[in-house]
Amino acid sequence: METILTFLPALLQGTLITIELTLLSLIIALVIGLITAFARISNNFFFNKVAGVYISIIRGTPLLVQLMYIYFVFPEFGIKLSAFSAALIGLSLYEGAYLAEIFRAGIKSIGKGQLEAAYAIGMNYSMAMRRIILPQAIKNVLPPIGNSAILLLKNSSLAAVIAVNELMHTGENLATTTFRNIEIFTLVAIIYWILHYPMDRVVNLLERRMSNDSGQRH
Amino acid sequence: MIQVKDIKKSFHQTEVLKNISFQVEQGEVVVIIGPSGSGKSTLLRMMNFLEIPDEGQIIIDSKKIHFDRKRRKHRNDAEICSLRSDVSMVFQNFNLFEHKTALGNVIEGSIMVRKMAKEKAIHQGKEFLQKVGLEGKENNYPHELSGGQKQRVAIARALAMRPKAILFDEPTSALDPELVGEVLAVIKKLAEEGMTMVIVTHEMGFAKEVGDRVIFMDGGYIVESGPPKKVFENPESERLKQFLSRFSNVV
Ligand SMILES: Nc1ncnc2c1ncn2[C@@H]1O[C@H](COP(=O)(O)OP(=O)(O)OP(=O)(O)O)[C@@H](O)[C@H]1O
Ligand SMILES: [Mg+2]
Repeated sequence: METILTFLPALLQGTLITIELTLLSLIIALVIGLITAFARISNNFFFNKVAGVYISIIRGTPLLVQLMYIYFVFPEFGIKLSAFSAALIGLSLYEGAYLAEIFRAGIKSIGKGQLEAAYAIGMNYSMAMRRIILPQAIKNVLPPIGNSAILLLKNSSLAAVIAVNELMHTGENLATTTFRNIEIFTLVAIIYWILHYPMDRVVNLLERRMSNDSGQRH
Repeated sequence: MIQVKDIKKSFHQTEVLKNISFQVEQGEVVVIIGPSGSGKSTLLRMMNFLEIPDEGQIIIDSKKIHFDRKRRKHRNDAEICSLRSDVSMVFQNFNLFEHKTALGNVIEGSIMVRKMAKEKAIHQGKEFLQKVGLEGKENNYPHELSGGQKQRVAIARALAMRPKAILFDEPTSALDPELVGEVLAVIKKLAEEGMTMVIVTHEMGFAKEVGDRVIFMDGGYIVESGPPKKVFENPESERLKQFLSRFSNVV
């Protein structure tokens, strides 16, 4: 018990970095995702293609490879990044591609009749999006965004391979110096579980609210 | 008021509208009838620029828009958006904004497009809801309303734009039979007040009653048009006779 307590300060330090990495990349990914989703549904051939290629690259290659690539290959082209920045960029790009697909599906789930009704009262496309389509889509996309954020939290542990001092890497370091594998990795697992728990509750709540809504509708 | 000239429209090689011309006078009620797939909806949607013609002209209240294949306009074009608010549209499936109350649906255009002050928009919105017989339903969401009530909210929403004309695309086709009457009654009242309207419908009795002029479409052409009495009682073309024979119990 005492030994466990001696590991905790270091692990909590790592936990803060994990939280920071997850939150920052989630925020950046939300922006990237929304922009990419609009590019995907736009009639502009160029934007559409660029967004399609981006999503395909991210979804078609492992996150581990992407992180290594950003950290080890980018410097060869003169782009030198700290481990934390590389992880932040990697996770944001990764999450952004998945959120783009979630946003796109959410916007598509709003029937085209809503857009036409908005046009019919004289709105243009951007006003119709802001006032009519997005407010309805946001309800549909919140639960999948929450689920994706939980995956992101867990995926952030991959940043350990490029030596970001987050929770996983801190645990690994402690384990190699103290050989207390059981205690340390059990603690690491428990901390991830505790971090995910409130997110899971929120997703659950949102999902329940959504099915109640559609229950009324039919 | 509305003039449609030499309109042509194809969807993927199939020509849906083949040279259509007609006009709607101020205060006139024009009813469009015809078999399924004859292009009625496409023609109506063009007058509201939800479909863009390949060729031809549409003139709304002396504002003329010319269409040709070389310089295609988009339906999000600024010029088109501004014209659109002058001609309102009522859809078969209502298309009410699901996240807004009945009153919210009605005032949305007044506030966002017409830039009316909120209190004034609400005041006017309530009046329009009253006009379609929905006082007391202001704060109900669409999923809390019956089909007939939804369509009446949609009509109030169209009226709130103070349009020069209203287009109806089969406004009662999605309704249970017992709810058709309440919607037709509202449209009839508008006709009596002199609202300019173009109505696509399969309700022949109604067409005969409110129409100043009936247009029969088939295969992408206007085959015949005239006062309802003549169109329904003395049809000239074979195709119209055949079409009407299916409704013989009503007419
Ligand atoms: N967006 C579209 N893409 C491809 N084809 C279309 C599209 N809209 C309509 N069409 C086709 O155009 C033709 C005319 O359709 P339209 O909806 O105007 O007919 P309608 O007279 O309104 O028929 P209904 O009485 O069934 O509503 C049909 O053959 C239809 O399949
Ligand atoms: Mg139709």
